[in-house]
Formats: sequence, structure tokens, C-alpha cells
Amino acid sequence: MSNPDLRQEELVGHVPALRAFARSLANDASHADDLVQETVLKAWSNLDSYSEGTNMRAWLFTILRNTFYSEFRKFRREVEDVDGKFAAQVPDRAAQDGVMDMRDFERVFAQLPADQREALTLVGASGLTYEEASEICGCAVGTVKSRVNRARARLIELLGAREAPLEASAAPDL
Amino acid sequence: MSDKHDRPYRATEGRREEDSISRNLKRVYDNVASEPLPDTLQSLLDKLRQDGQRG
Repeated sequence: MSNPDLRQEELVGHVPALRAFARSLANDASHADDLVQETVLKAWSNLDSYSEGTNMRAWLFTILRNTFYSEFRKFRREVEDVDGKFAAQVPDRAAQDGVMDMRDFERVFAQLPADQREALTLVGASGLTYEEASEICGCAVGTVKSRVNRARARLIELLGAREAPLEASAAPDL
Repeated sequence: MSDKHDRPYRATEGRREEDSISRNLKRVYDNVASEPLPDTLQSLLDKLRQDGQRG
């Protein structure tokens, strides 16, 4: 695909996914959209450097991630819940007596370190493979797997999620 | 009575929690991805397209 118009349209088509990924990193809708804007501008002006036939979404996610972390390093922006404002809103485990509420999930998810949030989002929500996620994050596949596992373990610990009892058909052989 | 009969859900508890996490994670992601683009972002895309058409 060498037509720049097609590449531009492909880029535009990935903007919703970019926003979702940005939100998982930034924990703030306004900041996330700023990141997306910056990513779109960078990508648009560097479309010539995009290798045709490769994964444009992964390319865009990489630009967004690099933008986020370079901004983080530059301004030391607080991206984690150091002041405990989210933790204060997490419901007691004892009060968690049903299906996990999505807002509770978002609050708890925001408490994870950024590297775990991004690993979990890339693999668990955006549908990328561990290999693609490792390229985006610039680390080994095993590191991504480890981050995903730690993120899941932490979420389980924090949420103590409880679903409705298993249906009979899904019950294990005991 | 065996121990596993005393705790029938214990064996699957972790799996159910993981399933719940996966569902919520995907739901949060899909909700954001399906939102209409904010005006500022849509304006930027429109401008870039127009500039691109002008060459």
C-alpha cells in the first residue's frame, strides 16, 4: 500500500483504539486525548517512515507509549495513585457482594503501575499478541507475561471479585 | 467428606476472578474506543486531511 491517502485513512481508523490505550496509561481522559493528539501529529508527519505491510496499530501504540514516557520523564507527572485518592474509593472486599462494578474496576485498575496497566491493556483488551506487546514496550516477551500476571494477581487481590455461582454445566468434576 | 467437597468453589475461584477481570478490562477498553471523538481531536483530523488533499 503506497498510497499516502490510504495510509492516512488507516491511521484515522486506529484513533479510537489509540484513545483506549492512552486512557489506560494516563488515567485521565483529558491527558489521554492530549497524548492521542500528539501521537497523531507525530505519526501523520512520519507516515513515510511507517513500513508498509507491518502492523500500523502497533506502530501507533509505540509512538503513543514513547510520548507518554518521555513526557513522564520530563515532567515527572504523577501517573500512579501516590496520594491514595483512588485507593480511598475502593470498596471493602466484604462489601463486594456481587458482580464487579465497572467503576470499581477502573478505580482499582488505576492503582496498578503504568507498566502493568499497559501490558494488561495491550494483551488483554486490544487483542495484541505477547510478541507485539513486547515490541511496543521494548522488552522481552517474558517480561510482558510477568507484568500481565502480576497485574492480574494484584487486581484479584484488590477486588476480590465474586461472580454469581457457576452454572451447573460449568461446574468442575469434584 | 473430602477436602474438595468442603470447598467446592475454591478450585474455580481464581478462574472466575480472572474471567471477570478480562471482561471488565475489555468493556472499559471498548467503551472508550466506541466513544465519539472529542471535537478537538476530530478538528485536528479534519485539518490534517484537508492539508493532505492540498498536497
